Amino acid sequence: MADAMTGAPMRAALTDATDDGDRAILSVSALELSFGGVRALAGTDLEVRRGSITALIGPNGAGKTTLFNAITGFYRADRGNAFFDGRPLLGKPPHAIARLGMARTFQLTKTLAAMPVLDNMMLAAPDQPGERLANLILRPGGWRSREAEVRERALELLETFSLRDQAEAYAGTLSGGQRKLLELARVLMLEPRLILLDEPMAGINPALAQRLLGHIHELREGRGVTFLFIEHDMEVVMGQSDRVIVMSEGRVIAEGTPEQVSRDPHVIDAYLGSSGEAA
Amino acid sequence: MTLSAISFSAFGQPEFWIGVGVLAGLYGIFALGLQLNVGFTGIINFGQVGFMSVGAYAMAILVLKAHWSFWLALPAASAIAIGAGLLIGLSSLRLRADYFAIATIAFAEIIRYVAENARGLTNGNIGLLGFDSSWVSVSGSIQSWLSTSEIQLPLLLVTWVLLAGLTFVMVRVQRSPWGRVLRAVREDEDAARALGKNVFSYKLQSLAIAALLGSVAGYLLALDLAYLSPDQFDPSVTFTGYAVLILGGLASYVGIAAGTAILWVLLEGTRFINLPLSAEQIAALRFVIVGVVLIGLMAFRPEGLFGKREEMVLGG
Repeated sequence: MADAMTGAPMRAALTDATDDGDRAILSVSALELSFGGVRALAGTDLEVRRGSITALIGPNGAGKTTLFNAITGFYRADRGNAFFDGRPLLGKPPHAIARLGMARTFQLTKTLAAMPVLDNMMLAAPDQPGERLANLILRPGGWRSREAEVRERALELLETFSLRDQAEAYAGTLSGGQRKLLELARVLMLEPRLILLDEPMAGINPALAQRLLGHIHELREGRGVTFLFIEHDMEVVMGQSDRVIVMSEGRVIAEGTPEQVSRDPHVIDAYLGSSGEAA
Repeated sequence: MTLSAISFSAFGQPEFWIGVGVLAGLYGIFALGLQLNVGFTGIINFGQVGFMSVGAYAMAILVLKAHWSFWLALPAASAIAIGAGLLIGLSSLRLRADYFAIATIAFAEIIRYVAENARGLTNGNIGLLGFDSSWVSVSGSIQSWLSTSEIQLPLLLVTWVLLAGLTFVMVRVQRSPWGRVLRAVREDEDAARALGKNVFSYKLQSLAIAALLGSVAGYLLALDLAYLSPDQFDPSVTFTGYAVLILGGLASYVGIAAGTAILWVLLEGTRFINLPLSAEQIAALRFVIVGVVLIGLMAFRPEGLFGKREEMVLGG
């Protein structure tokens, strides 16, 4: 039951991609956002291909996290357009965007520390009638069947992410790396088609980073989930992504396969040249 | 030695302790609302007394000026208190937590000043009397059914039955998915938003329920004193509610009942300390004792009697 619910839309998304109908799951055009006098986004244009693992790179201050915040409703863009699966994003509040099937994680993990790991997971499930006060009064206990489904799904995911043993522990007792895993697992409870990850590898040990990457690839291959991730580790970017988008000073300056991007003179100028991490 | 310093004559009077019990019970209901806001939603509500005041005054005005039945006036006055909660929430809940706290104090003070000055409705500082005749007759029948001579015993029973019932309901609701969302809002609003939860709506609901609980406490206070005046609703009421919350423990509804019982026994029991001091000095000493107990609690058991230490440490 739970599997049918999560699996079906994902596979549908994948067939769309192979049909070559609408190749972009996310398209952003001419997005502008200023903080006082600082133009954090200065007309950003980009497309994320359906079913891809796309890296978003750029020097500090390029506007990567600002872009995430603007398209997920946490910031309000001044101008421009953003569409997820053909649906407009701008002007929608974050919770409505999350429900569309576009989920995000944060640079500094936002696990709900004083709640058990399992509650962190179950919280994220959509369509829980027990989250409405009116239902609690009018149909007391009417939410329990959905709760059982959600619980099963949550435990399944925790098993996959090797967090099952910590299900009852407070999330605040997990290690930094485990929190990153929990955040990814939790976001999957939303059954998203696109996941935005803000520096998923930062601050976690190499073994956990490998596991996290393994999960990302499995989810893409198995369920057709699209990933857009901000990353500074060039080895990860070049080795793991199939598309790379490069931002600098609030604009996209290059876009393509990792090989194309690493040869792009603009990129070498703006970013790789200055930091030298690609070599 | 210590025993001889306490005069037992008044200490042993049931009438006195029934009065203390009523106050403890109604402050418990009052503090359930604070627990919902502060302990489970992470909203700092310093204006709970405002909702109590709105409820009590709306009830009394509907009975005395609009000649409504007392029993109809109760739900109507609670609806008005909820309306006040929504109003302050819609206008101020988008503020950062500390600014919202300031806005709620201002709200409660505005209500108090209105009660002092809108004399046509509230009689100002003279106060309102005579709104409780329906209750007095019901109370009389309960009293004769119990065959007791204690006039306030029916109110004590009603207050504690309400506190127990409301505590039960709040515990149940908190264990539902709705309660889980509230806790997520308390922990991290942005995380809750990113997971598809309408944070603003949940905070508003939390505040509305606190207002409802405040109004119920307000009716009980009005019935206890058979009188309403603005000075019963000064900000210290809210902070006494916070003392209950801290004693009982953050994020525990059950702790509220224990917290309010201990606080009121301390506060009222210390009236009987028989020392060679003036009445003013003893009155001040009572609050000193309560203060020392709270400080001791913070030092040795900061999570309160029933709070969860892990939640406090991790949630910080």
